[in-house]
Amino acid sequence: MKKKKLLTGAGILAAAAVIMAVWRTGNRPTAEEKEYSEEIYRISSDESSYGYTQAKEAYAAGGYSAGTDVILLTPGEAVLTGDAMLADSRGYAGGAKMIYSGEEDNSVEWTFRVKNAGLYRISMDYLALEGNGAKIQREVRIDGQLPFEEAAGVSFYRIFREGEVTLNSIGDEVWPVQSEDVIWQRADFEDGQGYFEDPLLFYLTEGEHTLTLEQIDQPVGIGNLTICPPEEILTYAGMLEEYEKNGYQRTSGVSVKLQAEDSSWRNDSVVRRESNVDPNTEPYSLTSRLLNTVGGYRWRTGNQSVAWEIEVPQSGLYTLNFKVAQATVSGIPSYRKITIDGKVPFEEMKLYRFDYNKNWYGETLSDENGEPYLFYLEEGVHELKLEVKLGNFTEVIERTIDDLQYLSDLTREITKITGTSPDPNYEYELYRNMPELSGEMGYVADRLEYTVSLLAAISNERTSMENNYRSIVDMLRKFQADVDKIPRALTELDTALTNLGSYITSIQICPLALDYLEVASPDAEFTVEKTLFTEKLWATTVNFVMSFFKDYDSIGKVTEEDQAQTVLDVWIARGADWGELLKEMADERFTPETGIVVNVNVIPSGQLSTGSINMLMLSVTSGDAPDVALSVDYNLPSEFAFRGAAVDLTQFDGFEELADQYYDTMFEPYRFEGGVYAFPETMDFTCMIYRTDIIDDLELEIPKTWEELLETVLPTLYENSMTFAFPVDTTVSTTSPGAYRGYTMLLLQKGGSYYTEDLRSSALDSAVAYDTFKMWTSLYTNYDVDEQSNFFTRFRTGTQPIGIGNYGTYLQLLTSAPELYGRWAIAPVPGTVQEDGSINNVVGTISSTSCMILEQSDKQEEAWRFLQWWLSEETQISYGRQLEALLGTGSRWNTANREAFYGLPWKREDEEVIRASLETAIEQPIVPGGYFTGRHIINAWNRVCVNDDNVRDALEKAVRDIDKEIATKRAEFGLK
Amino acid sequence: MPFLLLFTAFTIVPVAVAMGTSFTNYNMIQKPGFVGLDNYSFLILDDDVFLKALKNTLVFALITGPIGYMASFFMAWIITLVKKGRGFFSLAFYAPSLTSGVAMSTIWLIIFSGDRYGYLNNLLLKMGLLTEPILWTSDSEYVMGVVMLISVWMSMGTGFLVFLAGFQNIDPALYEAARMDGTASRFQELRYITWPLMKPQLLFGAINSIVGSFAVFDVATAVAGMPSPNYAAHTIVAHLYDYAFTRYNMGYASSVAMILFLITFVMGRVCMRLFKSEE
Repeated sequence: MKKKKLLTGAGILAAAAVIMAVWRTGNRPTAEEKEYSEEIYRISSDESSYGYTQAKEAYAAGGYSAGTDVILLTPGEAVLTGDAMLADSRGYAGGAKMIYSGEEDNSVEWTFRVKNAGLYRISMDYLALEGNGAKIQREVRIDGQLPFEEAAGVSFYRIFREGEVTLNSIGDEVWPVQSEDVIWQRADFEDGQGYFEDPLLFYLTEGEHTLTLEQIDQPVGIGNLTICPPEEILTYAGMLEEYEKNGYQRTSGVSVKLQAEDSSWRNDSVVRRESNVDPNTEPYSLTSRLLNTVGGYRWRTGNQSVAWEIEVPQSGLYTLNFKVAQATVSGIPSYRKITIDGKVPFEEMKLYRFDYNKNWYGETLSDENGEPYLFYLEEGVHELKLEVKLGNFTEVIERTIDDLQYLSDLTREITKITGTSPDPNYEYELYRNMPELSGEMGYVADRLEYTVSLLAAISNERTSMENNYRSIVDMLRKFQADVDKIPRALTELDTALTNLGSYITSIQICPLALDYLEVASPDAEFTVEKTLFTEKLWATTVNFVMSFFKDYDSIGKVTEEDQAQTVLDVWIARGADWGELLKEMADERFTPETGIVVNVNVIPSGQLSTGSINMLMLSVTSGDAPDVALSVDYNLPSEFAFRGAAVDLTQFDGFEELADQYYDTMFEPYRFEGGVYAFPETMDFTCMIYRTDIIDDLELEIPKTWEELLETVLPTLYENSMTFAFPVDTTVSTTSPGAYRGYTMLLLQKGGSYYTEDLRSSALDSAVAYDTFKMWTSLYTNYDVDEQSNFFTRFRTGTQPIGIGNYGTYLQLLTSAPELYGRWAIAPVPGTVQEDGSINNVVGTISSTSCMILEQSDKQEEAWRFLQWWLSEETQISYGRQLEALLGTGSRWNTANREAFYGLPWKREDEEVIRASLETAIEQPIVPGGYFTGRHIINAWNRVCVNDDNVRDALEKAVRDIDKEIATKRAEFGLK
Repeated sequence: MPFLLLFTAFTIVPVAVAMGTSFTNYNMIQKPGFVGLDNYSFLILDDDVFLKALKNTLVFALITGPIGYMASFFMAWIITLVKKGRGFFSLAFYAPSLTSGVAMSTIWLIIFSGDRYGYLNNLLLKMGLLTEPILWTSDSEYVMGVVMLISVWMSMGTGFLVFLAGFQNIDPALYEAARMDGTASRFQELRYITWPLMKPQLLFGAINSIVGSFAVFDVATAVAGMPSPNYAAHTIVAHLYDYAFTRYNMGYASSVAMILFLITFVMGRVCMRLFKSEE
């Protein structure tokens, strides 16, 4: 306690100095737009963002006008480096060559002259080459510089078409196979998020320039690039005059209806036909599932588009009608950019707003007065395309990110004075120590209030999101009135930060479902029947009754004719989406090739782990085991192997080839008596995660060794009321390696291991194990590292700016902490200095889940073929990519297949760290009775760190218990 | 007759099977082999973790059982006296036992989180009573206390409902008559009228509460993990579970189950004796 006060005192002095230096005196201007000057943002972070929004402001401020040159850049003129070369173009522009820009590092550079300075758009002819189905991304540099942030992820899309819709055994429609159509397309350079509905404009001065395209993701074939002036698009008023001038007539009595699910292509395989149970959707069946709409929640992220081909019987003026619904996000509208035959017909179509309504409603494209827009269409087939744009949300998102950053920096300044757990009995006198604080709070509140007013202006009704923002504003106002309330309410401030961060992700979506669309004459009637409550009730009742007769147990049960073929029973213990996707992929790619039908059975996740009532074990007991089990916890297969219930996979052909695609050490937990009884499926990694801004601020070096961590980093952190995250989570099941990850890591670095060479007894009685254990426990007893802490939350608030995390933490930060974007990084875990001076930073436990074939199966060869397909690089890449697109980055598929894993969209510098860590990782074997190792390491830790027992006694007791169990189990299994 | 059939199918057969299994080394997959009394001798003579589990269970049963029992009786009594909103209060008391133990424990875990931002830790730190957060769910000093608290809160429901029904079955005329005869207070009414008339419910409640506290597991696992650190909150059922589903030793688990069966059976007889003898 005393020590902490002293530290706090030192902290106050230090912080006061910092504040003096960084903050200007006087209150901030109040919320008037454009009054926020850039430099007062980011009290701590050095790199300030310069997005396209700022660029556009600069264009307007500079009075730049549209350029007038048209410059053609051809493949032949480009300078190619890395994995880029000239190649056959598959029929581009009369057999001209294209640039093949592959998946490895490469760049394509042109040098060109601009005669007239001005703003230019750039369009590119490209061939979306077969990759893993993700969008193609390239970084655009002008004269070697990034003109604005969005240029780092300029995106090009693919074209997906679908095959025939088929029925399964219970009469439900099955999603058709999607295949890529690799054809030449032309697209303007646009931002990858769908923030801006116009193509990106680049300001080019007169003279010589270079344009560089750097590889980010996916291979692409590049044809000609055109640098040209921005397109001029007429407003609707102008268009009407045009119609008049050309003498276009309104058509009469024509109405062409198209079911929206029959789209001709989509640019993302995630968007697909969906089933809607509303009885008024077309077509509709009471008893079976029809895929009768398109879009919905899957059609929500920027730039996803759906295109239809529609035949118009006669030339003339038409209106466009849609039957739509937006039932997923309450209160907010969705925006779409509407193009016909690849062109925006008039200005108003760049961003068209579909209102929120959870019921189906008819929307005739019309202006704000309800006057329908008229479109001139020639007789013949036309392509209509709707593309997701975030429209007015863009400003809300950008502002929230800035506001959040400001608030989080402010919070950190406060905790420099108060510490992370302020003493409630101490007066911190914030009004004196930080005289600007009240003004700052008011300033942030003003800013947020402005942001929320933007959001309110967009919404149809007062949304819950708006209330969320407003409650934060209220809190800030309270703090503004009395800053001395802040120390006691610091957690409230933390929570507010966390919440604001999550709001950013939740407003980045614009879902929209479409039932059908119509091209109709202005005089044709268009009404959408409202579904009555009684109709819905009836439909629900019938559905409920039907559910007793349908076999929903297995996803997409195989059809009658399939019964004749070999049917594999596959269990997967993950969410239904995972299972469904696996089934779809197997049907599409595995069954046609092999004639083996896969019957996927989803069981609750967590069911295939030790220490819980285990369905797989029970199924073996009852003689009803599946052929293959996927997503089996890595410590379970050995239990089956000991009892002769798992199949040794090394006996199969092609085991070696497949195993070569995986890290060798990952097989360690599945080895038993010379066999390998399971195959790795997913993996985990361990790394150090840190806040770059704070670590820079504290002038700390990232510790490379434990000594550095303990001697330089920890003291500095404590001086600033921060801590290091290395929790031992004892509340999770002790079979979970997460709990004693730290010990394993230290033990391996010092050259220790869990078991003796012959795997017959614990090796934790060695000197190395004792030293390691002593060091590990001393972290918590002497060095005061928090035993339990919520790393994620405290990392965001900056009170735990550095710590050891794993894949889960990494992913969580990546997906749920947008305000930290670019302000954190990962590094290898601290290492132990070896005798030769090198640093050993080996980690253990990289295995996560595995696949196994059950001994009871009478189709073991087929099961192995399935595993060969499932675990192959190609399948794993494609599965991972579809999963991520479907469920978001949060569901990134951490496949254990090495190449597939690195094929995931990692940040390049992160990938290096992860790769280094995985390449050196060492797995420990699992022996009979091995579950006692983890359990008793934790018990020993508990005795030392919680009950203050003697270190040696605690560890010795653990070793005794472990050895006893190993001996018992070896006897039980009749092992010598 | 139908009762006998059901009783055989759902009680006698499982118990008999468990008893049979307890003499084997059945591991769920391989053919069981007969090992005689090995399981029992190991259990009684060699298994110190079982002794710890037994101790924990007894402590738990002796404290939570009676407290839960009495608390639900008094709550029911008080609520019978409440005129308005009886339904609401009944629901409020019964609700916790309707929800699953695991879900409830999750909520309690927020309070007992070992982080300094756990509600209880935070409160105590704020009040200056602590300088360091307490690891409520892993410190062996506190684990049992936490588990007991949550269990008492959760277990009141069933007994409470039975008692409430019992109270409402009593003919109000009896109280009036007693008042004529000179009962002076509510407590006297309770002692001389309610108590004797509620014998069946009291018996049911007692057995229920004892069996319930012997079978405590869900809450303990959700709070302290499975197995709990240093077996601090290890109960007989947890021990059984550990052998059955971590070590897949069904034979041994069955012998643990048999012991548990014996204990609860004896306790049930004791209860019956206790409540019958006064008649």
